[in-house]
Amino acid sequence: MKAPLGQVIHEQATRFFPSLKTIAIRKVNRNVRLSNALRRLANRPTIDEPFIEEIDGFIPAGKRDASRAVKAVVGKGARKAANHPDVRQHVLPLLDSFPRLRAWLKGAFYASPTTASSNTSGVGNDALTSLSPRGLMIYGLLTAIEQRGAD
Amino acid sequence: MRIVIDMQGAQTQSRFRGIGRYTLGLSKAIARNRGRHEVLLALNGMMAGSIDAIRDEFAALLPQDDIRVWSAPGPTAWTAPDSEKNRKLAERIHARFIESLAPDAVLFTSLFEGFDDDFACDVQQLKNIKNLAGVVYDFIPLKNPKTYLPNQLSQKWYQSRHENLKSLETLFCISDFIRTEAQKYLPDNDSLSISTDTDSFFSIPENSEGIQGSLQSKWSLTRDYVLYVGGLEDRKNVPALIAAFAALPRTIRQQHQLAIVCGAQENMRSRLRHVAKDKGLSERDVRLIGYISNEELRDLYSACRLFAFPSLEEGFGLPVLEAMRCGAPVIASNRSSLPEVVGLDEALFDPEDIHSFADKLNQALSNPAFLQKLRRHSVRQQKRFSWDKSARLCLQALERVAESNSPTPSQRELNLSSLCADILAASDGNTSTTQKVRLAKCLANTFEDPRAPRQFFVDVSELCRHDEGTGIQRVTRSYLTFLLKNPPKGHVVRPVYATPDELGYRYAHTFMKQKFDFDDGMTRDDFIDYRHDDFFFGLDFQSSIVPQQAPALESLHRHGVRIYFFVHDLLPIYSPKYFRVGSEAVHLRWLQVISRFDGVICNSMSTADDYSRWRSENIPQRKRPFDTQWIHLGSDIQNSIPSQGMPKDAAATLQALRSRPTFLMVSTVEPRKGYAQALDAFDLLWKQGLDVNLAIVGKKGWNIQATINRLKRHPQKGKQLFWLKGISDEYLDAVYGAATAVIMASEAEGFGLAVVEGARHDKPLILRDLPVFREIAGDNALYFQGMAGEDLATAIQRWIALNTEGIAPTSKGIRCLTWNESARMLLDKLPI
Repeated sequence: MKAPLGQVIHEQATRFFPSLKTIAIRKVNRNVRLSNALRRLANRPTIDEPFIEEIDGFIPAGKRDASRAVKAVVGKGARKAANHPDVRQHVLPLLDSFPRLRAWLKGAFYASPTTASSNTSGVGNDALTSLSPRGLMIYGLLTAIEQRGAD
Repeated sequence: MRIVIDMQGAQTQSRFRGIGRYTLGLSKAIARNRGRHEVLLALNGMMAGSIDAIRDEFAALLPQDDIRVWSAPGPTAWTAPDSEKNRKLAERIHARFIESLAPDAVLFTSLFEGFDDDFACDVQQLKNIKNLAGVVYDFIPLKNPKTYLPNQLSQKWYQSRHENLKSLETLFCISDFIRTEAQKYLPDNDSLSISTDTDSFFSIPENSEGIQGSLQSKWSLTRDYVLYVGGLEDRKNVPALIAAFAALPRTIRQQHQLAIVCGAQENMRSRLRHVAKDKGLSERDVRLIGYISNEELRDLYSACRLFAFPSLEEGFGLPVLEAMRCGAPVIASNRSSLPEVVGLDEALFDPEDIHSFADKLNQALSNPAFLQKLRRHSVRQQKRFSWDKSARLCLQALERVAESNSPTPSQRELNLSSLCADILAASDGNTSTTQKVRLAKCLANTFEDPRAPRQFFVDVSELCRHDEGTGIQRVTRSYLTFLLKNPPKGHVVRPVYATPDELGYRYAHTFMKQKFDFDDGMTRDDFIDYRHDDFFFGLDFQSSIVPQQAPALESLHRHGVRIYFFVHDLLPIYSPKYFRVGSEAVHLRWLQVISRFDGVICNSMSTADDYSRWRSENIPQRKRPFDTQWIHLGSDIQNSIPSQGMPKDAAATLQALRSRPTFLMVSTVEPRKGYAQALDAFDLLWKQGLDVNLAIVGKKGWNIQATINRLKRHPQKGKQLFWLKGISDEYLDAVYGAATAVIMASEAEGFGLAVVEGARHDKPLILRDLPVFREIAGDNALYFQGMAGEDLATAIQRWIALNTEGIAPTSKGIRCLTWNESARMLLDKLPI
């Protein structure tokens, strides 16, 4: 049996445009009728009232998704190349002359799902809402200390 | 004494080189020989990819709780653009983190890192700790800056790392030669030679059969060969080796090949080919061998006629020791550390005098007695090197310094405010909101709240989204109810959930408040805080969210949080025909993710056996143990937060069920459950005039439309056939009470909750002959085999006959656990 169309779209969007998809869903969730229509398509529970969540802009989200996609493609290529000693031996000396490009490529190389942005990994997902209670308390302290310094 | 080992030497790119192997070898030996001392490992969370491997290496040596992870906002590599600010922050965080561990001594395994890695360490910031030591590998870049530090950036980097060395109390040198150098370049530091060792893997192979054939087929080594292993930089002096080989007497040379094992870049290899050609050697004479496995390297060492190492400068010269470990006769240059590694004057030559080198090669290859002497010497000499010996030297030195120092004051409680001020002071200028958020996340993960209780996270992601009211959800609700009332000792229970829209788990504050009237002490559904000694239990079955959350779970795991999952069955893997298209792949992905962590608890021995079988076939062996346990489920519906409510026609239905013998089947109506066979059987029985009811409790499942149509249009519907869909637990309890016997015709099951629920209601059981039903019910049920309606009809008739005679098996002998008993078993099996 095939998965509902909405679910397929949801899964593919999660895979390819996670940031844009999150923003789109949060926008849609502000409109109960529209949200419920889509939820029925995806076999998901409906909502009774608008669901308001903080959202980022489409442009920064698009940039994040694009950057993630580029890194994923470059990383995949680099990982494939690394499996071929001949390619590796020819490319590495060339990169020695460009240490910063080498460092960027290395970042892409190791950017596997295990090092993806996470609220728990210490990088990425920079919204304040992504902080844990202790993180939020520390953020408050950092801000207060900085303000005291400025005063 | 508490010793903290900074493990960054095994985390940067050095982990693929000698420094990484040295770091692991020495640290493991220190852990093995720690005696009364406490050893903590400090790992850099910015280099996340290396953490699991290190945890694996120490699995049998140190409690996982003694491996601590710190994080800072990256990148910090010198080659990364605009990394200086991050680096300063990271160095400050690293220093405060080390101090927060209250060490009596700190060992830095490598300080010369971070040029193109997210390494951070500034020893000068550790002013409160007196006993600081570090390993020194060589001073080669300092002596040859033109070669090794070709630009300003690398010179500045090296200078800063060298300044760090000066701040160490003790320098552990990897050879006597390096100690002499340390006394010259760092005269104010105490230094000690602790020597080195190889990986224990390098030894004479027990079975050398087939090595020759493999050498010939892989690398065309058809003659006896002289071996070199190492880099191709100028100081390695490999062209001299080729020249010396070319200068051998013709007869000797023609009997031998020269094998050079080097993972070098193509331009350097091509230079060597030119050198060989100039000396009149063919590609057949000089074999260049690229990257090879450790096993292949060991074979090459053990089968070589002679190992030659002409290096002009080494910190130690590890390939020489590896060759000796594998029983190879060795000759080496008489420079730097090599005389002390080789330990035999006769085996040394002047690497800059080709004639002397060629004479030594010739002597070894043409004089069997000399070659035998070298071989015997290798066996003796290699015994002088041992990681345990090196570790004991380290520990003794650290003890001496600790005794001469006043004890490190015990760490005062962490003052978060002053810590934040101190760390912010390390960053120049304003910090943007984004940077502060990233910094706050890192600090929250690095500096745990020592007063916070240990948390026992229970994943309720599916229950939170939608309680389907299936047996799986009953399991989740029942265990959760018990755990909330009886938290594991020393823990608070925190239900958590994740959604597909974001990475990371949140406290299920709202859900728990609304559905369980439970106050978890939180104010909203925040992302979770965690400590290295917390525990995560994946109780709810959520096969799509868990794989999506794999990075978040791995992050928790890297920080030391132990992670277990509950496994209900592997049926989509072993019986995919009963499931929707794609279920097998989804279940497989879920299994692969949960198998990366610490263990699973299965709902029966059969499921545990299935899981172990699947794991052995699909998951590579790892050094860290994986725990597979099993328990049995509970059966008292009243302790599973039962849903309430009786429909209007409930009384009439129950009356009808009580009016004649009623056989009850409880489970979702899906192909695996054997409903089609049951309907066939009862059609036969009703045709024969048997006055019995069939009651089915379970909602409509998948791929079973034909059976559903039969149920809906059956002439006995509402008379002798009752299908109760989506009824409350309260009603189900009453239906069990009204039934005469319980039938389980499932063709495959992980557990079969209805078996124990039926037994709890003292109902006789008619079960398909499955291993899991035998495991639960033993001899206390009537078993049937066969897939036809007649088979089940015969079994029912047999049971009726036995029951009339009063000799039908009863379910009284089945041990029916309550959910509380089952949950206690669960807690006993979890390592908390």
